[in-house]
Amino acid sequence: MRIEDLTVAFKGKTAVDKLSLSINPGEMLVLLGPSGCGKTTTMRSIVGLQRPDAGTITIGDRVVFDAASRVDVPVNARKVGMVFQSYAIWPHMTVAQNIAFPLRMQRRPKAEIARRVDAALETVGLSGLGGRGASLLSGGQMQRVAVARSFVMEPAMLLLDEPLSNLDAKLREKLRFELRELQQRLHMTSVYVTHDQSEALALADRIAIMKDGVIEQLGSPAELYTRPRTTFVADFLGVDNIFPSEVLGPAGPGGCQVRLDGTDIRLRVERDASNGATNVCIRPEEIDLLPDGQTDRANAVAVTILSTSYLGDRVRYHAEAGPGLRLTIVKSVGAPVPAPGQAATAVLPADKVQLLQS
Amino acid sequence: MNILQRRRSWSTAPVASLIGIILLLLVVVPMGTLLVAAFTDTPPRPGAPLGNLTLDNLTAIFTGASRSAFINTLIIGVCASLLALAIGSSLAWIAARTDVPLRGVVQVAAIMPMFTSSLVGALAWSMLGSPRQGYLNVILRSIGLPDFINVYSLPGIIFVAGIYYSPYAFLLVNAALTLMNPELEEAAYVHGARFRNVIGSVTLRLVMPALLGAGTLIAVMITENFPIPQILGSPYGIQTMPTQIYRLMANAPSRPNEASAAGAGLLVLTGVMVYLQRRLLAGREFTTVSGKGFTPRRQKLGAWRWPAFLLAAVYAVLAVGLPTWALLQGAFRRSSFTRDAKVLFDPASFTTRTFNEVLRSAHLRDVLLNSLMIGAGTAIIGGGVYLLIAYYVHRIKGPGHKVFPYIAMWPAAVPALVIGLGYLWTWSRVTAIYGTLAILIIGFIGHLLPQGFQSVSSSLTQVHSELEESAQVSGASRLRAAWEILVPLIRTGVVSTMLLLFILSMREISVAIFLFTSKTEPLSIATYNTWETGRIAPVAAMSLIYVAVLVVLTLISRRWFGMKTERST
Repeated sequence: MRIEDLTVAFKGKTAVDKLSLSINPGEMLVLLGPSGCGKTTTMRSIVGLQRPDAGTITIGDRVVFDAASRVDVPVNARKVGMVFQSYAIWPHMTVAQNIAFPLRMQRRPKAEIARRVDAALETVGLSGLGGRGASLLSGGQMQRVAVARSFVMEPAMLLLDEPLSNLDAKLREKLRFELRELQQRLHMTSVYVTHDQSEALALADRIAIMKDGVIEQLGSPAELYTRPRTTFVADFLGVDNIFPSEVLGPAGPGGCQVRLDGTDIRLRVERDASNGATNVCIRPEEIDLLPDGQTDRANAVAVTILSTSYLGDRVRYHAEAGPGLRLTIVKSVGAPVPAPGQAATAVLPADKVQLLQS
Repeated sequence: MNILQRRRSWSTAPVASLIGIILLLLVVVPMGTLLVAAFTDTPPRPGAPLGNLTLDNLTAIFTGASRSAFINTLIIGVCASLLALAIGSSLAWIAARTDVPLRGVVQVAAIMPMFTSSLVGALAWSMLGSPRQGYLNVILRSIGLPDFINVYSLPGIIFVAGIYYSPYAFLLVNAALTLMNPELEEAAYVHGARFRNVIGSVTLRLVMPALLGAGTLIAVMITENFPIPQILGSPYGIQTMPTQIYRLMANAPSRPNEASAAGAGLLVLTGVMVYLQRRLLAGREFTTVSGKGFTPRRQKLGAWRWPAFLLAAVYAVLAVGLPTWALLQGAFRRSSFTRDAKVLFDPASFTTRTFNEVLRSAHLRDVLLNSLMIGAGTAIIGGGVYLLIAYYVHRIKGPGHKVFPYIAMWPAAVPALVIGLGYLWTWSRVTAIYGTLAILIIGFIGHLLPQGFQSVSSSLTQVHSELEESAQVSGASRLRAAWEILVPLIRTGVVSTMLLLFILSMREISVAIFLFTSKTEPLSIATYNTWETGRIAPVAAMSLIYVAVLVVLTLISRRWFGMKTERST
């Protein structure tokens, strides 16, 4: 599937701005972003529930929307499966009738419909529940019926609109892996919309982080996690330590020197400074915590421990490195635990500190 | 590539224009004609040249009989609303938040008058409380007390209107009290408050939006009520604006332009009230109404349990018991003259002759048939029209979908009598419509538009639009999705709305009073006209039959279609 220059505006306000994107066959692409970033609008444009103002959408080798040549394949002819946020399970039908609906619309013979519905039920692990009224299902079962209904018609691609957001945390995690497994087994080209970063990381082959109708960064989960390009991406992926800073100049081969704003803490960063960075960030688990007095090391910062909290396998520290400058540090259990009030040294390894554009 | 499809060019314009025309005919033109009539000196006739512009009609509202009618309307509106609010909210608190015995009975008693018509309530109370001959006065005299009751007075009208409209206060306050999170009150007790503190500074404050909403709603309904002041006030010189409008139209020589001006004045009055209601309630939607089912905290009444029940019982007797008894007396007693209390209880003084005559008359059959036709027409055509508008506004969302709901709500601020007047001016030249049942059906469709549209809309919006979208994604066309998914899911709601329309159009008299002819007279008007002849027995008999028809229809609707009459106005 390919999107080129997709633009959607509501009452003069641009929701999606010249967005271009392509998805490889069998790939799961996650559109991640806060509410109002245009991710749902993009998805609704792909399926045909929203008419874009400009751009081209191609699914397989079929142009389903092209503003220039006025092509707009109606939603019911796009052959795209979709799992809705509310699941949209029709309460007046049985489970089997729900799943059979797309096949009925295709005027398939009865015997074939029955066979394929049974197969779909088995795939999602609901065998034997076909006769049950759809309004009697639990949240998790509804989600599975919605998934079965979306792939039973063998669509060219599958769209999932926050399909796990209505479930409780435990079930959400379980179904997340089921969904990923199913998608990989069926080799289904999918677009998945969510605002939950951990869901995105767990499910995606690639993630497109969206902000204000444009893609902020596109890449594999590992790429985004280790190399966020902008402050927004780092913040959205849950990096705790983000500090405004000033690039002082190059330092060594492929590195530069930065100073954290409002302090005289200087850090060496193994990144090229030419991208106009305004912030630096480092993940809490990548900071080293050493006993007090080892500030002669590179990128070492003297800190005072403010609080510690036990997380099971790890301990989280809040430490103050200067007025208004707080670090979050996560270390595994077992290392000596400094008590609140104690002084310590935090080391921010030069290859772990990231430069962020605003 | 060969299945490339051209952009579907189905346009929403024809549907939008159709709805525009419907709203124009139902709302805009009748109200516009009325306003024109208020400022000119000849009766408005479509096609006829406009009369001369004048302000005389408006000044006439504030002089002489019209001025006192205006003042009476205000007095009755304020006092009867307060009375209705006091009765309704006390009963609501007792039913929802105390350990009163026989709670179910209290709940039913509090809403019983809704199943009848205010016309019948007024007729029955005129039999009970007329000076000297009223049954209550006869009884008072016979036990040696002064016969002081006179329902043909401002207090009498206030009393009847108050008890008839209190169910609306009961329902709104009851809902607010039931849905209120009891932890809000418990928190006050925990922090040291006493019962009276909690009632005053927590409970009352939290139900304030419901009280204000009920108060203004009731004030509008009482202000525009025609039958109660017409029966209890008009013959004795107490006019309100609705009865004054009727007098200006019905008495020879009729003064249609003054009537229009009075109608416009009444319209402004109710319009202001509806506006105030919206303003008062905006931003006051306290999160007490969460839709969550709380187990309400019930106040232990102790020794006051039975007195509290008694209050509900007294209300039921005044609102339903005594009026029904009066109608039975009137319909089945041989003589309409009541010498003393003894004859009220003497089996020998009763006969079924008049009742049988009325029951078997061709006239009753005709008017009942008219009523049923009007009801069915309003329910089916009106229901269809409201559904069309609601589907367009909530689903298609084409041009005008923001304006249409706004126009559809206008009639909520227009008194039923004034709607009738507006339709009279608009349609009187269209002989194919005027003088037939069609004009009455159109009138009721216009009058019930706000309620019907809202009720159908809420059925429609309860169905998540994703349910239809997912059908479209699955390969169904828009119409197919509506047919296979939407229609089965809203059927119950729409059918119950239609039944409600049916019953409301049978219950209402004010819309029809300017629109009926001798051939299209409905049951409500026939009952009123019989009263104008002055003979008690046929009126009482007609009233009993009228109420019986309404009650049977309501029970059928509630029993088999789950209709909620309570939600109605």
